[in-house]
Amino acid sequence: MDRPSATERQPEDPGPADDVLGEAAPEGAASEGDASGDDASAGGSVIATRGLTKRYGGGQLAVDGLDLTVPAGSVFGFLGPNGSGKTTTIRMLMGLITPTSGTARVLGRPMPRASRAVLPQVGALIEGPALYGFLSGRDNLLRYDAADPTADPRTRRARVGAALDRVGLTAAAAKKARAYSLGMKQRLGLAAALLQPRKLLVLDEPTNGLDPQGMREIRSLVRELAGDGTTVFLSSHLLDEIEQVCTHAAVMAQGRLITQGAVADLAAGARGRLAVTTPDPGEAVRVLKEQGVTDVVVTEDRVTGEPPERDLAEVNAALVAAGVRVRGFTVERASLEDAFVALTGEGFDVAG
Amino acid sequence: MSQADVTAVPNPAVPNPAAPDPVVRPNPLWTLGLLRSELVTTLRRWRTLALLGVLAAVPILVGISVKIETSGDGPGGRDGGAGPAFISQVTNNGLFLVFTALAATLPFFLPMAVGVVAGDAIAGEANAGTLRYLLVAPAGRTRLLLAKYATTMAFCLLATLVVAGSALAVGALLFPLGDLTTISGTQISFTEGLGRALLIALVVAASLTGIAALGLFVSTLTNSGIAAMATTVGLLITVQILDQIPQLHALQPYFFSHYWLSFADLVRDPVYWHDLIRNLELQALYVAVFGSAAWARFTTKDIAA
Repeated sequence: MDRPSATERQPEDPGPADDVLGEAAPEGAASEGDASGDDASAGGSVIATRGLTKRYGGGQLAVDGLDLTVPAGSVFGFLGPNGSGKTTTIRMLMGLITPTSGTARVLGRPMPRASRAVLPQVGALIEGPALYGFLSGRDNLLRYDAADPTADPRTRRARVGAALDRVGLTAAAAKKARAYSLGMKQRLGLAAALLQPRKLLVLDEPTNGLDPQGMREIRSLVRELAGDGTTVFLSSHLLDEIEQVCTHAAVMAQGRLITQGAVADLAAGARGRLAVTTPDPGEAVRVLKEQGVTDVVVTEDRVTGEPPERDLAEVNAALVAAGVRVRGFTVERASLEDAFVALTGEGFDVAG
Repeated sequence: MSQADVTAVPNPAVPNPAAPDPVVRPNPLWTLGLLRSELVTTLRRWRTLALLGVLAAVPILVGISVKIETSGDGPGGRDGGAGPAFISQVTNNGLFLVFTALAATLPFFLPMAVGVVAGDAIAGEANAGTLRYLLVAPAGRTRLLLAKYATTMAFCLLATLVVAGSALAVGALLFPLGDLTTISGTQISFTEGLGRALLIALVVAASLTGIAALGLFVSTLTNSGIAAMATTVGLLITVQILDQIPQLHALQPYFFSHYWLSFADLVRDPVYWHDLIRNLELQALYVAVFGSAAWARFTTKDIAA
């Protein structure tokens, strides 16, 4: 329904991403407009998938023909209810799962073939943190850093210290990880993603288990990292989180990509609802229906509905001409949540 | 996965700002950091230390029970008949406790400990979720598997040395030491006996590499560390039982445990090498077959845990 328009709008709105792109990829940003060729998208995008599909052993289609493009320098929100295929997609991007068909390029190189060249520049938090409970927080990070053959052992302690500091865990660094709270584990997982300077951060539900203060800290950390030119790929089921920090977003449901584009465009893509406040709701409903308003809902003195294609001034005039006393006549701006509901026709928390 | 793929990829026509820095030139030695981390992490697990503790306790128990059994009689006075090899010799020479302890632990305790460590190697990390973070670090699947197998081999050696060291200490404390009589009846000096004991420990450790490879393969098949450990130890027991059934004697030379006790041939003079060589060949075969199977499985597996 709204899919083509959202995609077409993307080049018109380089938005905040363009500032960050400035030094990193001037040509890449320009070529983004011509989204037809694979080469162009590989130049300006950090993640590009073409027809990415994963069918699990049981024949269940987890991800179905995904064409995802994440522009360089963006904070990209990856939205979808639980079970919509987000995590399977992330695992394919990180080379943990082999796609059934289709291709995925990360930092311009094919995954999973180029894992060894790509992954040292990618920090990832996938499906929550996983830690060695019998090791201290610091020793956990030392181990993950040792697993990266491109990580310099001479700077290991200093980099681990800096990562702990960045997520505010320095004081608890010597504690065994099994004694950590969920929020602390989440922070330690983030620290592991920040052990080296990264070009891409893949954060799967990074604010899970955090208190509101912790969530704010993570959001400001994400903005800070994006300010340094790191592309952040953030999956979440919290729409307001995406609206607060993301420049771009994609929405998945039941393994399919429903839409992707700049966040402002996605929200605008969903049409606002007409809301009429009146002491004569019964009469208002009749007139509005005559004027082509659909999905009319009455709550006390408020009548709302999907506005028709025609000029809304005429609708108002018709109400007045029919003797309906109008106290308020507005179109309520759509949120990303409305956009999602409009796109999927269902509530956001319904599992696919 | 290979270096060759990486160089083939870049598209020269398009400037690619997102491409990895060619400047990154990691030192080849850094790759050993994972092995070191693996060794340290394995030894810091409470479970590993408990296994080594049990293994160290076996010679102590054997030594004390032999001492109590024989304290009333003169040296070598009573022959127990049954019991692990060499046990009747222990009272004459404490060094024999090393052979006795290895003969007592090799059928079950040692391979069980190795099976637990090997079975847990991949499956335990998958179960804890740490496997996905090691792989996106990126540890590299082949490199991680090699580090895991090298660590398991190191554990085989360490576990054997713990048994031998504990037995030597207990033997020296409770019994006299000195020149020893080989199975063939000849005398060899204590120093040479000590050398033979070390050689036996190495052969015993090598005898465990087969089940280590088998355990590692089982470990790549499941995401449950407990299931992998149980399967490996279960296979160990099954093979030990099948090795006792006379009707299966055509198959028995291919059981990984069949030549295990051939290490006793090192206490002959001259050493009888036939079964020892067969044992090492058999272990090498198991390592090749199950090592390849583990590699084939692990490098193509979807990591969904």
